Amino acid sequence: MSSIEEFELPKACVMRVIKAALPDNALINKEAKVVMTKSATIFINYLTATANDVTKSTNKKILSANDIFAALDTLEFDEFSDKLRDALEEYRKIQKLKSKRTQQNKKDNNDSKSSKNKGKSKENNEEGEEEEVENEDVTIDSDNDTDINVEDDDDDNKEEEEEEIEEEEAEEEEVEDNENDNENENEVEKEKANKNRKSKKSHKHSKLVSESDAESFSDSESEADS
Amino acid sequence: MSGKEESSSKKRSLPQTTTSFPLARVKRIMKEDKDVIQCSNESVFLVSLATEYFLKYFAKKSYGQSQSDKRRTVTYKDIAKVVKNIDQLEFLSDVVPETIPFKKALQKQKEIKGLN
Repeated sequence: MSSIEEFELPKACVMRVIKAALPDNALINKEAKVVMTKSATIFINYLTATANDVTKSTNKKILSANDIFAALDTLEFDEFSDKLRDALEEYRKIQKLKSKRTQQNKKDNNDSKSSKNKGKSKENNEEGEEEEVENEDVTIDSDNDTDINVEDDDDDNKEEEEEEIEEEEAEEEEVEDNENDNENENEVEKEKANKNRKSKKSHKHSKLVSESDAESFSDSESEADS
Repeated sequence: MSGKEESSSKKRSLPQTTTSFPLARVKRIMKEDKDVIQCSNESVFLVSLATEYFLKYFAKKSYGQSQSDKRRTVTYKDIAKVVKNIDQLEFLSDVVPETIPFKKALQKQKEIKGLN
């Protein structure tokens, strides 16, 4: 990916959006494709700059959703606003859902950990593991959501590494993890797939040789194809 | 997750919450502007969705223009004309300038040279 492309939307995505808007028999020549991708980037900069002026005028530091709506009005693109408002509501509902689940799980997470330290018999240990696995993959998922860049994931991995004994396996998972993050960190379904692979990692450090390993192998394979 | 699914999901009452542009890329483009200090995830989501709607609007207009010339392919000329006609798209006028024949361009250059 040359450096220029880094600051442009991927042409394939742009073309997918345009094809969806035009009738099937419509054709777009090469020049038009380049121009469309460029104007998409220009639109983003234009909208963000106007929104940023609004943020500055209300001397806030973080560019918020209402600034975007204000900017859309000034640029006479207000016909998008109502569709965007519903989408925003839906988006906020999903975010709330995720954050509620993580808080509630944080509590269970601590109890299941304390049960493990008491050194109960293997079976309870296994149950504890099952619970922990579910909670852990949800918390990791929320980290992905709240902070897009990769640092947050690294701190998370460091914690695990301290507990873990086999480091290489974790690293190998991590590399696959990061690759996956860069590719499609924003799509919700992909995140769910991302979550399963992470939970596989915590499985390993509990050293239980169970069928789930075989299953995790097939999962990561399917993950690689998707 | 092809574009087709998205446009159909829009028809259903459920508003579209999956963007077809990677949010990290959109955020990086937004951050290109130096005086943008920080942008909330919601604003990135909104900008990405707004860009999608903008592209659809822009593509439809350009296709309309090419159809008026009884053509099925959208070319640079159509887009340039659309940008000129619609004042909302005026911000794109330097990105998509109208093409002028070479002869005229040469004359213009001579005039400018003559002036300074």
